[in-house]
Amino acid sequence: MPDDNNGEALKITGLNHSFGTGEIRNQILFGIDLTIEPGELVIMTGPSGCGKTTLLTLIGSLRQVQEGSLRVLGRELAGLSDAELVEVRRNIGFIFQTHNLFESLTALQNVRMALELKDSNRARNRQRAEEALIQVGLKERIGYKPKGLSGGQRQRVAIARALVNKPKLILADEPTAALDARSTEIVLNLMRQLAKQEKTTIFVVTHDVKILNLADRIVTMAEGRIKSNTPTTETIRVCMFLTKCPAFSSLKPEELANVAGKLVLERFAAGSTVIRQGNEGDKFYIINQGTADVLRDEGGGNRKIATLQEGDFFGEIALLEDKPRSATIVAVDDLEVYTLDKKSFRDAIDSTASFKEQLLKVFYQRR
Amino acid sequence: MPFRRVPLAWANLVHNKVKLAASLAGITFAVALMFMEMGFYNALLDGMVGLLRKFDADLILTSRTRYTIGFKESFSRRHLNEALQFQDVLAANPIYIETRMARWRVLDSGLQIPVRVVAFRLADEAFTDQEIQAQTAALQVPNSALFDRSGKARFYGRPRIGDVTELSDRRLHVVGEFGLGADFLNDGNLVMSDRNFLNYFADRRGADPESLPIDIGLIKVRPGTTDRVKASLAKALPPSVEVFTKDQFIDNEKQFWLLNTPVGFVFWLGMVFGFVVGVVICYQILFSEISSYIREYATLLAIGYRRVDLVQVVLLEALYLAVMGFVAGTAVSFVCYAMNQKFTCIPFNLSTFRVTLMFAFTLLMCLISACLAIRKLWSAAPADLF
Repeated sequence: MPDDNNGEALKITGLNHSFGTGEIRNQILFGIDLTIEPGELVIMTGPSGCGKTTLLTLIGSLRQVQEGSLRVLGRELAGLSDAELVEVRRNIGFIFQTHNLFESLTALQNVRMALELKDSNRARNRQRAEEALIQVGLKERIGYKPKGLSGGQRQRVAIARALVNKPKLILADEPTAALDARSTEIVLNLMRQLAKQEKTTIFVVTHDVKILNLADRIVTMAEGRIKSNTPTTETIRVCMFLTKCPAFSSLKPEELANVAGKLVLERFAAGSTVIRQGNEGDKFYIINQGTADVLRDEGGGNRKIATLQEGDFFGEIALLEDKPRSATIVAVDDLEVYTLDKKSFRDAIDSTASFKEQLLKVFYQRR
Repeated sequence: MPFRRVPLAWANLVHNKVKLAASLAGITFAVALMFMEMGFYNALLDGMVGLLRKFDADLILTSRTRYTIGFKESFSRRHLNEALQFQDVLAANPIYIETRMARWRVLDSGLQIPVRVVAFRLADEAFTDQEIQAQTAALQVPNSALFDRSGKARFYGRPRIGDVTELSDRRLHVVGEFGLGADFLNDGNLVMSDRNFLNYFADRRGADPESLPIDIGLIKVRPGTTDRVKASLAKALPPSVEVFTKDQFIDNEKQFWLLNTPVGFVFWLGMVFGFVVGVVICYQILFSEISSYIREYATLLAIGYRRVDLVQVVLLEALYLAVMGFVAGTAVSFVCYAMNQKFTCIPFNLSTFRVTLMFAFTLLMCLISACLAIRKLWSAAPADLF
């Protein structure tokens, strides 16, 4: 049971890990910080020996945490005994590169082995195991032993075993490496479905580019450190917003992604003021969710001149001209905005002349 | 059975039929080996005390220097008669035994084969074996004897009642038969009257019938007085005569063979070796079983099973092997026992107690193997699966 639940499926802070002691001590992980929300499908990549497997085993409670904090499904793993780690593991689904099914058991029995950890009712387990196997497209192979199944079918049995207890976290190591195209598609659909419907967090280590488009977040590791941590779904969404703006429409994808990577998510309650007319401009804004009114005081008090909604942006004029805000923006309902600070905004403009020219063009169009 | 779990241990064991057959053959061999060694061990003891068990007595007198029934050392019948003077003694019956001088002539071949001759007074209730007691009238015929049909037929032939042969070069009428069997010293037996016995073995006759040398004295006492009479006799009789209860006498004989001859030790060692061989075979089977499923066991640990759960699986496999191997081993042993008994005429008895004891040994054998093999489970590292 989680000792408390702050909402994150996974929260790693300052995690270090080494193998060996004394002179042969070899540090594998260096100050890992990572937060994953429930329902995210995270893909972790990196070269061999970069520490991703060690990180995966730590998240899976298969190793003791040495230094730092690692919270899985709301439970701190640092300091837990081996027996307590076993308890944590029962709430995690594991999918390995090789299926690791018992050759002596049928597909149904292999899946039941996972169910019997939590429930000893045979009839109920049988039904749930059958449902899980049907879900992975093996209705006709329920009574078969692994020897009678293809490689893809075996891996699907292993996936059914991992999913049957409806874990809130699934750790997968190259789950599609041994699969044919059809099996890969079934597995990917399942993962997508679980992540969205059951809010299951799925953490996948893979080099399979076919599944990169599934990722909500791509974490890249190198030499024991997280090299990049990109929330891909959000980045694509934000880039789509940015391309609506004429100033960003001509940027290459990587330039857009760079800008998106520097955005910060901020929230404002309904009725609160986001920027005030006359104040100094310090940020650029894009509305992610909600609506906001644009008010301008031209001597006779505030007058609503426009309403902004999801994907609209504001605040860029003050940054470009280095002048006070020309209008007040008030949240109509709960408002979620991405912001880009003044320095990052200017850096982005300075990095490409065409980008700067485009923004100036926008500015002059607005005027 | 709504709560029946997946039978992983059983499934792992029977999954590969060829491997299972080889495994069972190994365990069966070990069980049969232990059974056979135990059979020889018990055959030695059962054979050597077979005659003693047939004596109808509460107390037994022998010469103190007769450390085993097979050693010829007699004592004076006078001491047996002295025992009759005690108030609670109901009967004192002499038994005569001859092995050295007794030669049975085989009817077909004419060969002379050593035989053990046991004699008693026909008026006495000397044997618990009713078959012998019922034939006392027939034994009154001069030069007659009962033939041991359980003795080695290939030595003595199969004489029928009424046949006439020779014992130590004198005519002998076979007037009946009984069942005793061979032991490690004697291949067969004859039972006759004391009168006939003294005719055949004249050197056993003395000048004074009262001091006739006898081999064993059988004493019957009033119920409940055995220990008291034994103590009194031990006090009253000369030191050259020793008094035993019947059970003590039988135990004494067994102890002699176990402790003072290499035969008992050899068979005991054979049993230990059978056990050790069984442990090694069973260990190899279980170790190989665990090794072949090591990644699967590691997967079970990863998904939340505890090592103790896996230990249970291996222990169950050991239990199944023990039961299956025991059943097969017992069946093989029954056949081997029957063959041994037929060939050697030495009693190979499988009592319920001995079968139960052997099952306990088989269980222990497989459990020790499992405990040794279980160490392999600790090499199942779920973290290595990634």
